Amino acid sequence: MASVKKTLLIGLFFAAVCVGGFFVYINAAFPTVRCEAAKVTHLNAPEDLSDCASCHAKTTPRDAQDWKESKHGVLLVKCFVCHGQPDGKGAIPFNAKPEYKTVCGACHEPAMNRMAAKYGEVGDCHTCHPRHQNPIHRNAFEAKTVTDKTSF
Amino acid sequence: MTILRRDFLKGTAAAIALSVLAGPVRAAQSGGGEEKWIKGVCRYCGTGCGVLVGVKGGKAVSIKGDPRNHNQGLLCLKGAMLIPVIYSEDRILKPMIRKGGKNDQLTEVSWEEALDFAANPFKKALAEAGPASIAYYGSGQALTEESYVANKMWKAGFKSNNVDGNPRLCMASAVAGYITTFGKDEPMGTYNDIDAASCFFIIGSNTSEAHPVLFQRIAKRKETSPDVKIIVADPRRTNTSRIADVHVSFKPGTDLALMNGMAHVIIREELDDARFHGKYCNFVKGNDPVNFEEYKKFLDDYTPEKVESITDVPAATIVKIARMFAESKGTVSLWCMGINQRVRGVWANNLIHNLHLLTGHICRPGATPLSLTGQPNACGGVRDVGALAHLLPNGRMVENEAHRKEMEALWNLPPGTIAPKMGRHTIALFEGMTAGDVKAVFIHCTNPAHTLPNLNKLTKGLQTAFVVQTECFKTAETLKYADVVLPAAFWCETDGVYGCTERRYSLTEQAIKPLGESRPALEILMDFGKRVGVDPKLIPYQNASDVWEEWRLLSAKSVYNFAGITRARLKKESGVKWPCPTENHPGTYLRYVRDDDPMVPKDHPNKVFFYGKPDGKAVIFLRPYDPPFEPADAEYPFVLTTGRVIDHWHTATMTGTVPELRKAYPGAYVEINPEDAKKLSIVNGDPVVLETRRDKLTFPARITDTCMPGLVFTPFFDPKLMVNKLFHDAADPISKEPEYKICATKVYKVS
Amino acid sequence: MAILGFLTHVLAGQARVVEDTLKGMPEFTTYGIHKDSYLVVVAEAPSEQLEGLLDRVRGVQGVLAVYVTSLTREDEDLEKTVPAHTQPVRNKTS
Repeated sequence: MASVKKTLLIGLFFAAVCVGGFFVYINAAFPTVRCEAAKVTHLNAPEDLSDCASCHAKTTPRDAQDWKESKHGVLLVKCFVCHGQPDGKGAIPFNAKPEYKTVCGACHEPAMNRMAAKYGEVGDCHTCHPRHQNPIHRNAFEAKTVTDKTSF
Repeated sequence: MTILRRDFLKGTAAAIALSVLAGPVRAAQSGGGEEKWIKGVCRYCGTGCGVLVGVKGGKAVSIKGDPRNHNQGLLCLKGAMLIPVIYSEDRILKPMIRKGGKNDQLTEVSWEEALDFAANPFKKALAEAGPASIAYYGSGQALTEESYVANKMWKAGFKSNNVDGNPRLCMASAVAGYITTFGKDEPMGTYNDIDAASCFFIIGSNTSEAHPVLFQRIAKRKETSPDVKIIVADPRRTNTSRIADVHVSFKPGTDLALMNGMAHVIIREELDDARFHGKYCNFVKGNDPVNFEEYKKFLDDYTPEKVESITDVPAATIVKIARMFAESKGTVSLWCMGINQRVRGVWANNLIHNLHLLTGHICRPGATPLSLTGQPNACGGVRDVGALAHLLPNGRMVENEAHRKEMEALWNLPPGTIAPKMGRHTIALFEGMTAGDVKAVFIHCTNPAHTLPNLNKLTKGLQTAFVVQTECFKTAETLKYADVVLPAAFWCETDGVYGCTERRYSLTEQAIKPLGESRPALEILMDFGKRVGVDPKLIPYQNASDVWEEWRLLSAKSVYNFAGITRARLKKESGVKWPCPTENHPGTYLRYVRDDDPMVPKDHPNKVFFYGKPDGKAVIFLRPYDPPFEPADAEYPFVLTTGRVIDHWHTATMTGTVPELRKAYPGAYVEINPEDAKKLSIVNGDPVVLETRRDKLTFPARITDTCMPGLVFTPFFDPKLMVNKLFHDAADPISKEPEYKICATKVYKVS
Repeated sequence: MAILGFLTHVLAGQARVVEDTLKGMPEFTTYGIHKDSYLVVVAEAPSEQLEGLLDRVRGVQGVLAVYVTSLTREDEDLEKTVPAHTQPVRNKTS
């Protein structure tokens, strides 16, 4: 009886060491890459990192791709126009969820007023216009020349 | 009750943090609580978007698009971030002078001292060397009233025709193109044509970055009408091509051959509108009239196969785009610096007009050649006002005696006041400064030490001549050469009119007081002029409205008539398009068209009347292909071109003050095609030398397939890497506009 | 002892969690949450520990950014305790 228990305990201990060692190894081998997004706050981001999109293409690829293919992406309404600059030193205060009336309204006030007149105050834009994506009514301007050749 | 000092301090710290939540953190772009919204025009590009500036407590706190102007509330990222520029630490708020000459420091002084110090060298030069020894170098970003007064002071007051400006560097070829083809400057269509077009021919323009809100309008047109076709012709495949049906990359400088090739196909396939060009066009080769048959014969040199060998564009593509252009119900062409900034810029403009005149895609909704103006007020302030060395107001020419007599009568001048010879155009001006012939120059609202071509050569003039400069921002390169710096009020700190691409005049009303000791440039100009000795009767204006009143009444004596655009109307409406002869006239959409254009008599026998030409007909010019001044060769095997990026305006003195825009593009780089990069063993980020016959600079490499192989591109905004040092100053012989778009360069990695 | 007032910008929905974490650290006193996005915090610590202090805040899960709003000193000799590179720099006039 005692020897089975002892074997079990030794086995458990051995497994724990292996698993623990595995995790320690992973942490050491991939110190920042394993979850690139989680530990990088914007204040760690390199000083010379130009636009938001290049890093967000890696950290939040879904949103970055959505934006790139959306109307805002085609028209180069870049991230900071709505979201500001994340280190807080920008002209626009940083916000992960922009305030609709002032931020969206800076360009889209006529359309927002038309919508409000037709359907009443909705309170937010992104219920129907999913963040960064095409509006529900039409496809965005479809990218017509998706190729990496420079001549036709 | 005792409060520990420590607790008091903690409470204070908390209170401060709390107040920040409500206050200044939001000041840069706060929403809500605006006491009033002041109507204006964006400070940046020639699209001329209307804006509303939100004012609270005497400060500008927010900006939004004006829903009633042509942009219908939309803005691009630069316009959306204009407010922080006003309050940037880079603002110059006190006058400064270099008391001890060019090697001295700039020291702050009073306005009195600065203006006298500024005026005296001009007085002296006038007395000792005459009117040709002083000059004014103005800007397509100055307000119309400022340019009008400066032009009048110089040409009528000082009797000097040395009035030129930075539109010489960007729009002069478009101006000469319109005038040679149609007899008068400025487009005949408007932005409304974009909403009705079936085909867009975009050539030499990165519209998505240089005119973003117009790009949106084009994209929207395509979105709502999927049959609309978009052709983008550009050696670079920019973001603009994302909505293109066909992207045509041609060898840099060969677009003249391309367009002649298109004309060849259009005629061969009988897609030309013989009725239109037979009735409304003359054919001219050089200065000699020819006929349609000779034009056809001329185009024999431009078969698709021959053009393919010149341009590297496949013959099938040339046929395809020619058909798209001609067969559409209405084609709108748009072009910008790729066409204008060339040694054959005027010819390139003519060739675009040719395509429209051949096919009849002109003077009807959705069909027009629409030249995109780069700056916000090159049209209204410089072209229409005539503030260039060879022009007088409203399309008149200095060297035309009848025109001089007209202006002398209109301005109540003794006959013979206006000098009969044209003054120095920009390159000649800076060469004259180097030679010592021009001793003093007044530079207004532009940054020539950064934007002139062949910088090392032409900035020498700034080192010798006495330079007075109005400037708002400390980062302007030209300040290094200025003897006097006068802080002008910035944008919405004063009122004035901008005239944009589509013949639309819009008013920016004063939203806030000028910061610091800055003063409206109009006041500065008049004060300066009086101290130099201009007759005060020539400039009897109390404010910008007075200037506008004189200018609009003057315009009634020409076909650039906008007498109906009064100040009151500008305040009420969000821009009006000229011709507009009376206050109840709504403004003109289709110019040269009977019943639309009030300058065409109502009983004119023809529907279209190109009244700028003596016989009412436009000209189709036989313009041959002529290569660029400095194409690539064995020694300098790459073509270098330059341009803008969306985030920065010109020399980035304004956009550089906005942290987000600065971070988006902190510095210049060189775009290299991946094929070329591989051959040169260059990877992304490597320091790369661009060496031309003028100079060499090192840029970080950006490997991208935007440029075709053999072409490299670098933006020109970076004051630490001024690419204009690498360029020559060869210019179009007709327009005197330099070729900024093509020079030959070596490309190699720093070892 | 330095007294530092600052705002912590947090991910939406994380404000309570972050506040509790900060409450657990002796140097910080929290003064409330604004719009579920910002925390008002005052930190109290010897000046030489200031940089490390803010790094710890930034390291807390859910913190996006730290905006310092005020800083005062009490009961300490700056020259002796604070490294030179953190001392105030005279403004250049060029």
